[in-house]
Amino acid sequence: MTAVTYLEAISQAIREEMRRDESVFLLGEDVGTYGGAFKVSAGFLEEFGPERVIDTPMSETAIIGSAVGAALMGMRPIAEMQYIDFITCGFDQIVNMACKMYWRSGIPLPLVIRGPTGGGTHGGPFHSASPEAWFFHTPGIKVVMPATTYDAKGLLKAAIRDNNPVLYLEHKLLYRLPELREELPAEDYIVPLGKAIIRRYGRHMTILTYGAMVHQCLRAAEQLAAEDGLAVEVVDLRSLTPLDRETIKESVKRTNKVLIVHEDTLTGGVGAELAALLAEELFDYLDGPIMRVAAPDAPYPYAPSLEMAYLPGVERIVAVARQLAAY
Amino acid sequence: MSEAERANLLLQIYYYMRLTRAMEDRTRTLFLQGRIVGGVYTAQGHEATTVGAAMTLRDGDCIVPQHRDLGMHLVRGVSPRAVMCQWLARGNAPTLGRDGQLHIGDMHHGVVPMISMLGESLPVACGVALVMKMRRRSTIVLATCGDGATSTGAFHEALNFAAVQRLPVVFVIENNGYAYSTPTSKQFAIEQLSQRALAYGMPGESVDGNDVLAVMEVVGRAVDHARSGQGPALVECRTFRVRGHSEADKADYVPSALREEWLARDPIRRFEEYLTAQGLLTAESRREIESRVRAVVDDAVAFAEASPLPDPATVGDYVFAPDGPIAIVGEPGATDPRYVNALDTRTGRPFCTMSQVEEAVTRL
Amino acid sequence: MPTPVKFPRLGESVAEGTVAAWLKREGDYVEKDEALAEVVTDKVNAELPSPVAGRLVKILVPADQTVPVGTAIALIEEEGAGSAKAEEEEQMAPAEKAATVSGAVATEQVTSAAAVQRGTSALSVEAEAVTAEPHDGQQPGERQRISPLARRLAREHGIDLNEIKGTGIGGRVRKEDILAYLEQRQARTQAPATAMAAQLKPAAVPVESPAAAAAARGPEPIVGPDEEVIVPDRMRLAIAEHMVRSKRTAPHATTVVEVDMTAIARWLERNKEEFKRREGYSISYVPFVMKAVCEGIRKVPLINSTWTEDNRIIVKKRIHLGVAVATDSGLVVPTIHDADQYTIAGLARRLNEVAQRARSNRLTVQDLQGSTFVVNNPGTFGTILSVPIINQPHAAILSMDAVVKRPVVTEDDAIAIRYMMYLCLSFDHRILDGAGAAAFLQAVRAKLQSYGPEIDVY
Repeated sequence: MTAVTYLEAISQAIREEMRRDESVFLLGEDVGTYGGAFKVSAGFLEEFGPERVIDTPMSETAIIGSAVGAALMGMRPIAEMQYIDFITCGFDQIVNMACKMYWRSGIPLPLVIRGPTGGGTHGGPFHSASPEAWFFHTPGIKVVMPATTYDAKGLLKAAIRDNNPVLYLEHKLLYRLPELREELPAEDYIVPLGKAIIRRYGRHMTILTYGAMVHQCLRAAEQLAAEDGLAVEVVDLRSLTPLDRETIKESVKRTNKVLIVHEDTLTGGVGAELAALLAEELFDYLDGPIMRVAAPDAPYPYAPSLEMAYLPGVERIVAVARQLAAY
Repeated sequence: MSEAERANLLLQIYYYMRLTRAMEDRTRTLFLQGRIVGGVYTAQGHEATTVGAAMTLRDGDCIVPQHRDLGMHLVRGVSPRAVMCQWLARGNAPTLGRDGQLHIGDMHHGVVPMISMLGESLPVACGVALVMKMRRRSTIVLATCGDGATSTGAFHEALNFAAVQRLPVVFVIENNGYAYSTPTSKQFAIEQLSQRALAYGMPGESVDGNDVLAVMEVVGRAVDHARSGQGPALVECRTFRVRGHSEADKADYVPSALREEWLARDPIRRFEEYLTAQGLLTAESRREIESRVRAVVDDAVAFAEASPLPDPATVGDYVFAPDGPIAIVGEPGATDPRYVNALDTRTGRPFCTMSQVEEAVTRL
Repeated sequence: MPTPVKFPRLGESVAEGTVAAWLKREGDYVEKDEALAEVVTDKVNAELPSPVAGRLVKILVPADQTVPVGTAIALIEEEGAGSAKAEEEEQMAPAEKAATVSGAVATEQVTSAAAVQRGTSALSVEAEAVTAEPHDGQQPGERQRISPLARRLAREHGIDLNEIKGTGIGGRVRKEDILAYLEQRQARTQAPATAMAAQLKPAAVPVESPAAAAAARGPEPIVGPDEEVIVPDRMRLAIAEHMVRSKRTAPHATTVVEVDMTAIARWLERNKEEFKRREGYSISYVPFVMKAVCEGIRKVPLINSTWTEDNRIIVKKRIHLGVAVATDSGLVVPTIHDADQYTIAGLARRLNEVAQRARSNRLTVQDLQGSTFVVNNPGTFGTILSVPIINQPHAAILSMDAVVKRPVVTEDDAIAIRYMMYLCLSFDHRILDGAGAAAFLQAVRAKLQSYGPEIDVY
């Protein structure tokens, strides 16, 4: 067995689900003949044919809208956004059409919308989006963000098998990262939606994070252990909706201090909700303020020097964690 | 078709047009009495278009209607009781009081629930048609929108996608002159909306939307085209909205002469004159139809008024569907209760949109 | 009662409207849905249809008067009451709703009043802190800084925050400071220190348990890609701790006997249903075994004893039997006090009571205290031989496994099918030896095999 990349894990998940279930199909821009802008679906057209690997016009509303229509019919479409930034072009189909469908009609909508998310690749303001907060705020859609190769495959399979709209946000910086190569189980497996995982145990504070930031936080935790003797716990949320409140609370009850790290901008981000949740429910377990490290409230910049300053990195995480530890 | 069959069909069409009008008149009354709390949208003048277009369909076809398409719902078997429960926001309405108006649907009977963002249903119609094409079915989708919605991006994306994929969809534009207060002259700069078809590479026709037989002929042609696997078609039905955008709109921006002109072309009166001239509608058969219509409307209102309001304790419920297998709608066994989409899993009962399952509604 | 006709809300943003003209006069009869008046708002002109059929008894708003939406503008006396029941109910609804709302408000006020009171008592701690000498890093007169967690711990342990010097930024009192203080306080009160610590521990659990345990363990576990870490809940942790301690404390030895349960099994077959119907609770093998255990303890009292830390054996004169009950969250062992005082039926009743309380999480402290010996019944899971771990500080524990039909060689060398069960005793070898354990098991077996076809369970 060979170790695969995060990208290959995504590709495997779709391929295996398409083989397993005839109702699963893929549609999006350049997904067929070209095999996807990032080659997630390379070889799919040959295996599954043009009716199950559909090259669409440049029409996000039509892509998501027809995925909704197909899901109404009981199919399990996977709608690819070439870059997740373009999800805004199909916003209405998601928040008004898809998210409210089961709630108002009783018709389940098994639908996955996925696409390359996040920055660190010099993509500039229109190819680096972290759009999770919009959908985290919207009832009726599940939101997941895998950080590892194992989770990339397991979460996507779970998303495809779910009977609701699921937004699957894959971080493109992780696509081909050599250190994320992993040997995956030969047998079928899923990572259930709504379950966080503790990536590293520690007693001095909890870092709540998800997506590519998990790796930055693990690096920061290592540095804090080596230089400060601090045992920092790192919780990878994996799913934002449903949110694994139990794991979050269990961890914070033990460590009593919380740092939240995300790549998305600060104000009204996922971290704000996590902070509110903990303040409401675990106030007298807190031994310090809930702190956040996130991108500044500005659009995503292009120039490398600006991008470096924009993205939360190990250095910032370590600095804020030290401040919190001393509080 | 024999003479008798034809006579029967024409009287059925007449019945549906009268029923549509009567349901909307009663809805308006309920609104004026303060019994309907939200906006009320009616479609006086659209009956020939909505009923006529729906009459061209077969079992297994799917409609993707909009807010003025009550005629289409009724022809396709949507229950007047369900419609009234919907208007009166009852707990046993198809949306369980979560939504109002004609925002209802049931895929097993080929009705896609609309949303208020007009035009957004058209890409969804493409998805339904895509599945029909994938599954090699000879069924089609009939999707509608108004003149206003033709200006949306969704309209363009849907028609283009349908044409590229040669999907079995018929797009029916109900051009009724106004989008709220905006006249068509401020909406588009072409003569006829069917001209848009050329740009997408599909056939397009315009028809007098107040002539039910003409509508059936032209939409029927488009349906045949789509059913034969040649891809989508576009039909513009030219009609007029003789009432306001909603019942809370006195529509004084419409020149009264224009309104009078269209009132004179009332589709029901025109069809009546035709049926009478053909000797198919007598004073007696007309009375009989009128009393049937009144009975259906009375029953629907009485049923809805006796129905319970939604339970406030359920306000946070039904956001996510449960786990379990999902059937491909329209395939054998798709209504087996083990499928999550066979029944309305919110209630554990059949979807209550259709008259066939009114029993289920009654039991609620 | 006449039905009021209300001015309708004709559009979302419409707040008021005008009665343009009355189309009916007082005393006129109107049909349901017949036009009653012309009404005008800034969005619509309409004829107002009557909500009911009846006589227009009163016009409340004259023509040309503008009123807010919802205002009653006329009264209609219906003919034949009851026909308009639905409408009446609808008219009633707002009033009822108002009543409910004000009820809710009242409740809320009560709640917040209580909250204020609670707040006051909590604040008193703080008030003292304000008047106290300022600590290092604090400006004179500034309020002492205390983390929310530290404040709670201080309250739980009855600590005067003035005695504590904060080491956080700006002299803030935080978790470490409270824990350090507690340690010091324990050290000061030498003799009862252990007992005290034991008492304090449960309250300090959120701070102490897994984190402290992790600290003791040293390095954090490294999680592989195909592994998952489960953080045990508190109950699991407690069980784990107890099991390790028991094995470390008592040298376990185990001995097994086989018991012929045929008489009891046949009796249960015949009487179980009837017993349940009569008594309202069920009866199983367990109370029979408990009864026999009491008999065994009477013969070998050392089974009901404890080895103390100063190397003494304390023999308990009263028999309090613990019975292991599996619940959703784990194993609990509620106690049936003075088990030897009950009949078999009485034991069955007590057993039902505690098991029910255990499964619904309603066990009392008393239920969980004071057992002297435990009977464990893994047999319900179908096992035939289980070696139990002693529940500290007991001398022994008994496992009863499943009663199964087996071919058995009888005393007269025939082969018969009998209902057989293994009883497995783990005992603290410090307290007694194999002979004593065997004597106990013999006694238990003898009791269980002593029954004839008719058993008096009362």
